[in-house]
Amino acid sequence: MPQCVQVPVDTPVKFRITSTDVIHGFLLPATNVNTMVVPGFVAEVRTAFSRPGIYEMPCNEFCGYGHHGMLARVKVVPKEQFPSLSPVERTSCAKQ
Amino acid sequence: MKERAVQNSSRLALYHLWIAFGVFLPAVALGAWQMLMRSPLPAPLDDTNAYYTSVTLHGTAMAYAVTTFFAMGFGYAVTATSLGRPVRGIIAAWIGFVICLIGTVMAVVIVLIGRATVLYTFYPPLLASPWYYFGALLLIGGSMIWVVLMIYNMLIWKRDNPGQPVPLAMFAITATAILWAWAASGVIIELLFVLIPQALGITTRIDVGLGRTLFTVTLHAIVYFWLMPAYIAYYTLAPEAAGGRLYSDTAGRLTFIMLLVFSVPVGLHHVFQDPDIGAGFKFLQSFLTFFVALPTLLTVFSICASLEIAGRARGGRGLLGWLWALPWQEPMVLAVALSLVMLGLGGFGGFINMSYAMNQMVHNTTWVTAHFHLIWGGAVVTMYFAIAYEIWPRITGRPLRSKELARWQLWLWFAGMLIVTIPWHITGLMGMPRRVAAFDYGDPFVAPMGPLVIISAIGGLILLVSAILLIAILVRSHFGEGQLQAPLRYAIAVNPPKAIPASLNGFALWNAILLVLMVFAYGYPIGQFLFLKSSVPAYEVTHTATSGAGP
Repeated sequence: MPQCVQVPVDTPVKFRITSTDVIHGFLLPATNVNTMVVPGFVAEVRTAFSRPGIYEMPCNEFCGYGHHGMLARVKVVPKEQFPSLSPVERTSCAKQ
Repeated sequence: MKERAVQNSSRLALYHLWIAFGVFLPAVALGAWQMLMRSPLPAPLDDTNAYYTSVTLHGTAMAYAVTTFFAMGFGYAVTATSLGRPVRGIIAAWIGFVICLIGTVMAVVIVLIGRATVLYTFYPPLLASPWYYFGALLLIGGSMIWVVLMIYNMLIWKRDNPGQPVPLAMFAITATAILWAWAASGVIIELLFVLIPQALGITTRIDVGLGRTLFTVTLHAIVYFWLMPAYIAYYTLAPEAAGGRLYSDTAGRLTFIMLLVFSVPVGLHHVFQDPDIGAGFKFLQSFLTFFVALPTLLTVFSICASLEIAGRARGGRGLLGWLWALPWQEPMVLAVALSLVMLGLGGFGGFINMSYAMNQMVHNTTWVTAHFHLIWGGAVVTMYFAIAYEIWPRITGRPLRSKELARWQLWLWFAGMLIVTIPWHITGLMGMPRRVAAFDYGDPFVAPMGPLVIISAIGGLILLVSAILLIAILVRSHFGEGQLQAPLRYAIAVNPPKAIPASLNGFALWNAILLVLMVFAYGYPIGQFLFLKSSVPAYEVTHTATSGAGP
């Protein structure tokens, strides 16, 4: 799971998510994005963000003693800014 | 009128109920501590590992131990008093009690030493010590002896009284037992075929989808297993305590039949956001879930009508005058009112949870925690208290000490539960995830939730005070001055049943219908895992594990 992804505003976005360890939860408060992330399966969520900004993404399913530290972000940027973005630096979640 | 003492079930019922409430108090204390822990306030023993262990213990104790022991104890008391004869199979009942107790102790000890921090819902591929699973299996499996005894006692009574209607209380407790057998089938199969083989190292991979789907068979029906003793009190004890009559015996029978049939094939509404189940079956079970509202609406109507009959019999006049004429000094009457308020608030939240699309806004947020605390922790447990206050004097032969304290206890619990759950509903809508040990209240996203979380933590402390008061009342009533008590009586219906159809006097037809519904609703969702290759490695939960400790 990257620590932060950037997506354009007012554009259909599809998240395809799975887990390589235990179950997690993928929640973007104030949007309709909310899915379980279950190892062995791919969750697919479609949405479109109507407002730019940084969306917090706390893990919403108990995944072990480090659960409360599992937080990522989705950054919604203006449409015209998105094509010019350099590849976003991505950090993997620590897994074992 | 036959003399209805609690007969040979007195000691049996008392032991079960004492275990239930004995587990209840420390579990409430854990809950209160958890609320401090996750709030901006300082908490004693500030340790996030302990938080997750505590959540597991709180859930295991409340969901499995308190409820199962309470239902069993209440069931034995109801059997003896409603049938007016001793419980048959008393030795088997004691064996069941011991098995359940051993299972409870095993599970609690393993959780306490930190070997089973997987929450009471197990959450594969997280893996606990096999002893935790064995403990849960003994507790749930042991209660199946009770299930068999309830069915057996009803059947031999019917054999001895051909053509007679089974008393409503007995009919209802048997429905509760049968429902529990259906509900428990999911978790028992999950334990036996998914979790225990993996924990023992017999299998090397675990099918998370199968485990989760099997657990959903249990997950909703178990809630109705918790709830049905409360409904039995609504129908059979409350109108009597209010000095009235039950509005309709048939409504009672229909309610318990509907609770049995509609609360099992609907569990998938707990996993609307899971990728391992398709949208079609989620929609089907979402639709079926709405039927669960019917028996509750029927109950609210019947109970309000019964109370109105009581109020008018006591001289109440006018549209609402009967309300003030009710004997509010009776803990049972007060409890019914408080319980119905919480049931209403929690129930409307439930409509949102069960709606496939709206569920997306609240899934795994504190909204859901608020919902089931209102329903179980509020509406249901309040009736457990009231039942205890009715039954204790009958069993111990000593008066309740005192009704005034009991009313204080009920009001405190009501206030505490509202103060806890109203802020949780709001933070849930703001996106606050549940089951989280600590929040960074400096974060601009979390900061506005801080004051609400503090308010709810205060509610938690009020609940703890109320739980302590409950135990104090029960102990005082146990060791008070001896004095003979009136036997436990059940409300008589306005039109007592004389001859009723077999379908309202037994469960064969309804079990057959439920079986068909279950094959229809769960056949494919469970069967698919025999073909999908979706098994993954399991992760044992230890304090050093970093699973999920990202980002």
